[in-house]
Amino acid sequence: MIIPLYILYWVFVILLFFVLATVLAAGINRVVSSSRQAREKAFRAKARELLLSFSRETGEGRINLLRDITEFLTPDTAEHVALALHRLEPPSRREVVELFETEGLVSHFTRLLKAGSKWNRAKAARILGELNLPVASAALYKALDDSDPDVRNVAARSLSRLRHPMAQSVLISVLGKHEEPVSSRIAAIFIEAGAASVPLLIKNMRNDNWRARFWSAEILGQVGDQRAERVLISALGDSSADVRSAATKALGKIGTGASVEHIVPLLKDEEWFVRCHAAWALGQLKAVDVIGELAEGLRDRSWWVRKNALEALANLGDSAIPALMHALEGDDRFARESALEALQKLGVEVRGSGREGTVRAR
Amino acid sequence: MTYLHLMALEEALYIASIVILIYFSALQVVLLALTLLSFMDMRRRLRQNYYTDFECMARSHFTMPVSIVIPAHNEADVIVQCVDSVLSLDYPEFEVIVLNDGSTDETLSLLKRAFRLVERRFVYRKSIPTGEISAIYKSASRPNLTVVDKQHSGKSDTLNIGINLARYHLFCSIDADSLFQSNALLRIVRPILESPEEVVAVGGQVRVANGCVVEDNRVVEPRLPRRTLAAFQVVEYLRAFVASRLGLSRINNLLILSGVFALFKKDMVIQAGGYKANTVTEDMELVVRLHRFIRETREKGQRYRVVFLPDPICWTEVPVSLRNLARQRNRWHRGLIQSISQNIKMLFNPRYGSVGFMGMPYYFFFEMLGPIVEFVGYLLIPLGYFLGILSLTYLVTFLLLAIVAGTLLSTLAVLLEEASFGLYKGWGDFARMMSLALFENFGYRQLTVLFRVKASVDFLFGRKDWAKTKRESDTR
Repeated sequence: MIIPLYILYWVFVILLFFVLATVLAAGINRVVSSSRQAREKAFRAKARELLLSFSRETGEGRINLLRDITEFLTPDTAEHVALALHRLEPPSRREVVELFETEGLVSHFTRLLKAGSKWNRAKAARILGELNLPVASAALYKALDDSDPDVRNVAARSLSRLRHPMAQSVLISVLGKHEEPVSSRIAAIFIEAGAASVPLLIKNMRNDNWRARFWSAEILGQVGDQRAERVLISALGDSSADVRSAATKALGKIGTGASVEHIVPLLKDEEWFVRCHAAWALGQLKAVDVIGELAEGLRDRSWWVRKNALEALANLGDSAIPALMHALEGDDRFARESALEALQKLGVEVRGSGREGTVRAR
Repeated sequence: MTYLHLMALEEALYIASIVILIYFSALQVVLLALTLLSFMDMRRRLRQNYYTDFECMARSHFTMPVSIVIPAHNEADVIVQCVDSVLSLDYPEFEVIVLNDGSTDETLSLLKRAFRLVERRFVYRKSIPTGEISAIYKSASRPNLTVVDKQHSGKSDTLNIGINLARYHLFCSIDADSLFQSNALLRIVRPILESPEEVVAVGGQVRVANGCVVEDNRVVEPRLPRRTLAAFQVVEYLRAFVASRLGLSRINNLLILSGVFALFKKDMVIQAGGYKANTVTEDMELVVRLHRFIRETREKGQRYRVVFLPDPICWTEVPVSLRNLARQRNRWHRGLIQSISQNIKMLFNPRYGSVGFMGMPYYFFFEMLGPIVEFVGYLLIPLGYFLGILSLTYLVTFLLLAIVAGTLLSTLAVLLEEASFGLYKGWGDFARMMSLALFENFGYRQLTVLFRVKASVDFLFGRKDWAKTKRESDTR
């Protein structure tokens, strides 16, 4: 016998046992998960129905419904009720949120947010965000420093829903401190707040942390408030290339003619992405006085800078035509072709060029 | 045959069977370990999704823009639906670049009509060396659509042109005959948003579209295919994608991202040299080379990841005839051998870290040599019986063992699918999937082993063609 038969036999029996166990587990999982899904669906529907009826009823009926909601409200169903709260008008909403407090659920989830397992902390952060209670915001700010990125992410998302007046002054201190999704969520809070957040962001442009300055410049660009122009111009000389780049981009969106002379030197910045944004910004600002400098950009060693310089020139309209015609005669093949493309964008018909065979118009 | 000959044969059979048994046991242990890792990772991913606000991501200014590259060679049957489906993806900023790779059918004219294409002057910069472009068209109706016309030069070169033309720092390669969930792009980009420094490539899950109910270019009701050959592939895809790749991704040893739906950091791919021409499976070759390139050039302590995600789902038609299945599997396996052999220096090389000691050995010993060992097993054991060395009981037990081991991996993959997505709702589909997991071991598995053994022989004889399979649609 090559390998004792009994070994093969036992291996076979064990594997067969596992196959049957797997099939059984899959079947049980199907039953359990469908009943769990049905239960969750029923909870969701009931929470929605209770809250909708509550918002419509008055007098005795309303009191009865409040009692029904209290009975329904448990740590298991709290998430469904919290997620349905946005359907209520503020006064009704306040009453239901008070129930969360009187039933001890706010303190329960605040505790859970500090000491629960990872996904319980995430769940608690989500519920507290939906409740929009000032008392919960402190716990959510703390959760931004949670050891787990998923919890930090949910906490940032919840904070973005709070719209608490104190939120911005606290959040500005953590801007740029976390990973990209959390930072962009915090940035979204400031963007949504709009002009009201500008003074804080302007102040934050003096922060020692370059990431904080970078995110502030990014947000100022998105908010689009010209009060930020001066501080953004100062940031063009920042030691961090990321900040210089973000400030240039922001000035392209909100700057005025005063920004142009400060942006031009950045066409010679050592980092390609700064030069690239500088060219773009000058195009946006319709800087017709710096056409020569932009035409120089067509010869930059970085393709992105050349591309943006080309688009900027095309953006400047007819004033850029002489510079582009001049670029057609240059040594750089890409600059010639780019100039040709820009001229065509401007509606100029070019038939051939000084360098036969390299640039041809159709 | 003399007694001495028989003795020698018995000795040879003994050694061979020991080798096969060790191999077989090691394979089972590795696959079970990968499935276990997949279970753990799947649980985490699904919870993450529950707490992810995709709507917010879809509106955010900070969600990175993506260039979607679609190579198309004679795709007239599907191209307009595919582009429509991609253009309606839920994503804040993206562009679609369709590359008509010298189609001889109506592909380009259909695109021109459907999207009101207008020819544009262009400047084409070759970050990666490629062939030439004949024309570039922009859509008058969809500003983020670009169509490129070019001579036929193969998929790798076409994809490289797409990369050269891409405006954004992330590009996503997709196949023209695939269907997507509306938030598939948001889901696939998520790991890069979370770790922009670390993650260099992300792959999504490919599922079988045959038999599914499709409305407005979206799969609205996943169903098992009516044809058995396609239905076997559903279980096979579950095993490959859900069970195996997710596990390999967890330990950052994934060497394949399906070209049907994968997202890459453009600068990294350009630095690595782009897709390589004359490769049979350009998607695997690129991922192996990315691992190699990064491990050769990275600074000490610099981390990187190639990630597979189970939730961005892409649906694709699988072959329903044996002939097409044979061609597809032949190409896949030749591609695998080619990618491994071109990067064989990574095998057990400490310079390549865990990829050299886990990923490469896994693909070399189990994926590449697996079919040959299995084939030899199928020959040797019956041979032993016919020569009177093995008893009938032994032969039957050995075959049953092979069947039950194969079934276990498939049922585990079905369990994983059930415990995670549960896309196939009816009990009928469940029963059918379980029976497919069992019956694929009676013929289908052996057939795919044969296809792959033939692919190994073809590779040895220098066959390098792409062998495109003919489309056989049977979605509902």
